[in-house]
Amino acid sequence: MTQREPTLETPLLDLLSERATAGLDAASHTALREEASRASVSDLGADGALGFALAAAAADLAWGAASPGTEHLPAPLRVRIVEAGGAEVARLRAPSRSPAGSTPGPRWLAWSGMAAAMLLLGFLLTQAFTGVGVRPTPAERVAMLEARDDTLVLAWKGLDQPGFERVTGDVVWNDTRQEGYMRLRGLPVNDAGEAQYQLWIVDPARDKHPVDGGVFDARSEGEILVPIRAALRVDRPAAFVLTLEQPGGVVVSDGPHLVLAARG
Amino acid sequence: MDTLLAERRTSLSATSFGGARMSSLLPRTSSDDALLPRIAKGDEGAVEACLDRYGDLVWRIARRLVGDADTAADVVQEAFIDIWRAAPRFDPEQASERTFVAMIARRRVIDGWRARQRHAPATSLAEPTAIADAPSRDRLEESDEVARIQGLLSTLDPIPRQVLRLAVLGGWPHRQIATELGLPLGTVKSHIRRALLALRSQLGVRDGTPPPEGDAASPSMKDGGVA
Repeated sequence: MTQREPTLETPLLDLLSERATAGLDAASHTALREEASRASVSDLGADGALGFALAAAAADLAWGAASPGTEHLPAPLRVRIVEAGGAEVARLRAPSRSPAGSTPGPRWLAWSGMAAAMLLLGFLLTQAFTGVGVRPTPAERVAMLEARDDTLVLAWKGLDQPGFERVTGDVVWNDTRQEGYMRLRGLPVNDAGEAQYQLWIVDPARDKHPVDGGVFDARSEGEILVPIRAALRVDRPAAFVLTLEQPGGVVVSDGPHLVLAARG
Repeated sequence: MDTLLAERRTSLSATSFGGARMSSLLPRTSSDDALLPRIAKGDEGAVEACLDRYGDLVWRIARRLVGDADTAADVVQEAFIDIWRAAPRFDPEQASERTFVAMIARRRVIDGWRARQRHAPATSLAEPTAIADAPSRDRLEESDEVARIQGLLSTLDPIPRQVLRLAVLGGWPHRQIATELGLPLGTVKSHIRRALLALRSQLGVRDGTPPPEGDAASPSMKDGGVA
């Protein structure tokens, strides 16, 4: 492969540098898109972002090793992450594996699992009574958001793309809290290794370009609940759009719009 | 759906992913005890091992950059979700697992703090006073990578080093660094750009593009000049 890629200009390198170290505000984000488009750089959203994010991480580690901290991950947070991680990692498992329960394990395994569950329940109850580390589930968060007067709820509409016509559900978004969720039913399952869904939030009052709302996977065509991870502040979204992108998402999408939720 | 996915797959495979590639000349983490490949295969047992190995690292990055413990807790949880999801994309030929994890975590922390409209950066202007050993659980290859980066950082002149430190460790916007240090904004941008290009080069990352004129991405940066 000897094809030469275009030389990157200093403004683009500066924007990549700032993105890797401090993040970008809305204006700089727009400038990055424009510079990337001018330089024919089609993807800035992959892990490396041309290596700048990796370089910044390496410097962070080098200096971090020079001044090792004394803080440790809090235990309640660790429990929470393990719970979330177990579910997330289970979804990564290849679907061709034997279904759970088809080959019963040894009896001690069942007992140890039960004991672990009891311990976890005890821990959670303790946390609940002490008020430490207990957070509402995503479904509870959605219910809390929906109970607020200033929460926007928009219905999804599958667009004219094969397989997406029957997608239903809604978007729940609150400007004040900058928090929201997508409820989706009938979204075709994607192969996370090849493509991921990406949410775009259209807010014409802030920018002509949509805001990246995060990438996610549909592991089943039943109802899924997905938190919105807006990369930038969104003050008055006019529409939410789903596209299918390369793993990790992109900065600028050229893919077809698949599902739309828009103000009437 | 299948047709659309197939078309999208073709389109994506033809897309340049930014071209970030690592040189195979540098020692890299062996995949023997890497955890992300296990997570990518759905090994739930690797989740706790991953937290044991990287939990404190991600927590410290978040605490340093966002300060507030509650906000840090939220972004750390989100960061680990991102790490699990990114696990299939980890390639030990491209970076050590620790650097990859730190990169994903930094991105989530920075995005999280932007979305939450914080903040006053927590990092002080003071330089770190001592070089300590890397955490003992670091594997040899990772320690080697850290040592090489530390070596490169030590070649920086004091002002560029301080500028880069505020940007990387404190997450300070370029404009704020310029104001605090009384430097022209262009000089700050130049210091950071040149330093990151040199670090990128030291790591062996390249994007197939030469740096702009005057941006020497050589392992040594002790030339002191600015663009």
